[in-house]
Amino acid sequence: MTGKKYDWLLYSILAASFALSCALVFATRPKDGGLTFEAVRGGTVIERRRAAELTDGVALDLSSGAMTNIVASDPTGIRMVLANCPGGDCLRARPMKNAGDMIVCIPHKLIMRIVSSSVGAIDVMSY
Amino acid sequence: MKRFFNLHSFIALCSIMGIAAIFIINRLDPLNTVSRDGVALDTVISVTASAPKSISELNGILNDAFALIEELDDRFSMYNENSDVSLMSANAGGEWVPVSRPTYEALAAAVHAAKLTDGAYDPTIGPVSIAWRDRLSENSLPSEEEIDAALLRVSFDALELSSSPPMAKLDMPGGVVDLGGIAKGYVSSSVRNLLKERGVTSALIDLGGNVVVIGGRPRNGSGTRTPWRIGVQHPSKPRGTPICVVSLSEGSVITAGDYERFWEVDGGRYTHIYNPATGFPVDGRLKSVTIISDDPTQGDALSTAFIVMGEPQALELLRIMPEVGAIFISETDDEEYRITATGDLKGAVETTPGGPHIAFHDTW
Repeated sequence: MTGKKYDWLLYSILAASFALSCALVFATRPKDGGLTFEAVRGGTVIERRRAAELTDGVALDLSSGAMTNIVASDPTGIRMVLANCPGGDCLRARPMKNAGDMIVCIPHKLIMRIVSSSVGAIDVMSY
Repeated sequence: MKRFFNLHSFIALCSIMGIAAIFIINRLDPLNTVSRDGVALDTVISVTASAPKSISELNGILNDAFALIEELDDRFSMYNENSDVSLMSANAGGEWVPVSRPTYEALAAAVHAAKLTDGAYDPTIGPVSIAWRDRLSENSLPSEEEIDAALLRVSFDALELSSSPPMAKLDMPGGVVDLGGIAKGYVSSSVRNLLKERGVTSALIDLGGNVVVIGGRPRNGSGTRTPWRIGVQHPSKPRGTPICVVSLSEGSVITAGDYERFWEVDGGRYTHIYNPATGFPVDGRLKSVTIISDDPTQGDALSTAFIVMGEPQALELLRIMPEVGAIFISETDDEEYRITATGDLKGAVETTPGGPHIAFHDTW
């Protein structure tokens, strides 16, 4: 009888451990972070925010010293609206809307991109 | 007391310990991750590295990785007159030129790839690429005489190497070494070696779309990993749109596509990939080739060579290279696309929703 009691105790601990493990694994599971806008200059992230925060009309000033770069959001996506780089290729770049989209201002060494932390999303593109 | 240690109890105890172990393993290996982007090798580069190390240690490793990339860029660049490659071209037809060990290794890999592909990849293509670049930048085309004259100075057989000390010689007056078809592959391989030697357990190295991955993708700081997911660019859709996706934990994914860099002159479209046999830009139905292998240096050269060779010849060559996987994206008569992949990639490559069916081809 005593042995059976201990069996039930062990089974209870087993069930509790299983439930606790499931709860902890669930609580620490990778979360869908959605889309994030990032701007990087000289290897340093100078701006990072949820893309959803960049609603229509919101502008971000990414200028540094004499290098002017301003991005803004409109219904087509996030685009460079003002830059004083030679050539101005970044001003003509396609707006960013989806994960993997990128605008680069090579003369100002400024990289802007949309990244996704969703599980199953594409990490990188091979061109 | 005797019954306390019966079989049921033993199984229950083992189960508890097993569950605890699974949970502990899941929480072990607390990884930190750092990412950095930059501009080098005439493209955007990005390195993400994870390891059970402090953020400052990881930043130190990335400092060294980026310093290495810049150093190799300086040695391989055709546009830096003091680079090893430029000095070789300046002395073409003349004396041996001392080169750095990395340049020697990249040149040796280039010559090997040229022999393997029977010259479809050729590191001495420089005179041809310069002839086209100079004319196209003026919105005109090189004449046949100019192309023929340039072709006379293209021959990988003229590239001689000496190992100790590392030296190289281009025995072709007027010849120009162009490592553009292999440099990014070699650099990404070197960065991978550096990261591994410094204890990085997971990494994503992206040199302008030449991708090398290490150790799977960490899942938000937990010990579990999933394969990295690498999209292969759709030939005619906006940059960043995949036509298929490769899942890979360890190795390299290198793509050469005729859409990547091109010029448009008089209604014609001229890609940056040249056929060393004809001196003309490639212009076929094969739009891109992606090489999946453990050797990004070879993968870089093969992707270029296969675009030149075409799919049937490339698949034939792959019969003797079971360690190399390939994806071919071709345009069809009705302006759709066809995907062919080598059989070893079954389960590792998938099409995108609504994308073309993938035909797997067993090469061995």
